[in-house]
Amino acid sequence: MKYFNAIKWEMILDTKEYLQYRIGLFMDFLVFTGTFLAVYFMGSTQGFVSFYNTSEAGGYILVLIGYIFWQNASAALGYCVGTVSDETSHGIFEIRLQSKFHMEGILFIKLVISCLIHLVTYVGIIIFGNAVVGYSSNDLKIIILAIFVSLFSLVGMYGIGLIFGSICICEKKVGSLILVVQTMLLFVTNAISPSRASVIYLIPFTSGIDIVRDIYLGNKVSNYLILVYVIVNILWAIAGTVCFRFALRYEKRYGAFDNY
Amino acid sequence: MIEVKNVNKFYKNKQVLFDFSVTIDLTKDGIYGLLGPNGAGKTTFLKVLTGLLDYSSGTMRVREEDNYMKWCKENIVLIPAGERGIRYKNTVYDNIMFFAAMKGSKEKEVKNLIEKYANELHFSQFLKRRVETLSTGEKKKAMLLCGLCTDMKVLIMDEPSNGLDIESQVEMKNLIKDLAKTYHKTFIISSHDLEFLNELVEHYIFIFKGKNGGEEDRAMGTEEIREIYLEKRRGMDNNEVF
Repeated sequence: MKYFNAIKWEMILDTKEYLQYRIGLFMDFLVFTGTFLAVYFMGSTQGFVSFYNTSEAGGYILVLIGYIFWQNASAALGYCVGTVSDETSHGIFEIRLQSKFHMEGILFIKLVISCLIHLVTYVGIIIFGNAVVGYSSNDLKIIILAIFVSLFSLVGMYGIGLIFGSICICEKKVGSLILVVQTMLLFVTNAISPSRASVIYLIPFTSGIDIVRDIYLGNKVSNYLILVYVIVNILWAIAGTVCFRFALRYEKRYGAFDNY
Repeated sequence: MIEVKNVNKFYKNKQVLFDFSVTIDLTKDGIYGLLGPNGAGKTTFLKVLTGLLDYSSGTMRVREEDNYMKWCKENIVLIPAGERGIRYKNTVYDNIMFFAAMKGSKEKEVKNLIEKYANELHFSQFLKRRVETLSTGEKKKAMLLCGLCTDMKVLIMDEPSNGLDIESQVEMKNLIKDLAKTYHKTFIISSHDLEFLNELVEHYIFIFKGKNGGEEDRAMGTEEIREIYLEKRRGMDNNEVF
């Protein structure tokens, strides 16, 4: 009960804080919409048209599916690192350390709230897509499905975020490393270019992309793919939690949370 | 009773606490003052006491409790120095609820405490204001209120007089005295400001270069504290020379 109370007040304060940072939310909207426009005009759809033997409109939806997953993953990564870095510099982290509740669970809930608020950034992409390609009702269902299925990849991306958050705890800043990783995730995975290379399935959201694409194309979704999606995410979450707890212990023993 | 015995603390390769021992009696509602120069280890000690930092060796325990870390999370709150540890974009009320929720306090009880302490601190009219709109003194009061509404037995305040004008310092002193007496709270205040500590603190702990430089169990005026402080400091320096 007390834990739910802590989560409740996190949600209230985070939501109120987000509404204060309206410009930030608007900038996120512009950045993500702008990135998608760039991806679209790069001609990424052509690769999907030939790989999946589908139409131009179909190719667009397949790119959009990948982009939705990437956007959520990217936001999760940036949020984890940004929160740890920001809260450490403002002393909120020290308040959390005085709490009787484990931080990781609360940070995950904060991440989910943030991603739900950021759903508004999809509006630009969907409006653009409808203007350029036009959606059928099936397309809209797939877009909504992609958004929901991608939420599970937050588990794994949160884990990766905690790993970078661990670096933040010890080193205070990670510089542009996150931006580099986010960009790499866009280009080396199957987000905007088709790929079935095995190694990419080690990344939390890639198998989710294939699941939704298979549903859209009317293919049978492999149970193995679903299993990979679930297991990879859980393993990254565990790895991230272990790293984060290790970093916390190390910093408590040898460092100071307020030295910048 | 909190018993700290021979606690040593390192930051990487630099030792900051050296065999630090002290006993803090929680049965008497008291105001403890941790007095020392800049870099003496006051903040480090307070963070070790609160469980924010781990010590390298030594022991810390509370009588009749097996697990100090668990006990300190349920009974101690640290109000940090400066204007850190508070969410600027949220209101004072929201911050209080957040603090208290983090500490596991029940919402209904917290709301009662807010009413009680906000009246005590003459701060009710500020509850709905965002922290970023408050002055330095008002922010300090907001942070004190956050700490009080967690209903912890021990409140630790790190340099609470920093940045306050004279009137605000006097007001803060009087508040702390009243709160300790009326609500049976133990305050541990770290400061290098003798003017602030005089006639407020009842138990002085002197800290020099990470070592316990001695204790005095009585309230004192500024001049007396200064003399004792300098005497103890000279004593510590002489011990180092020999």
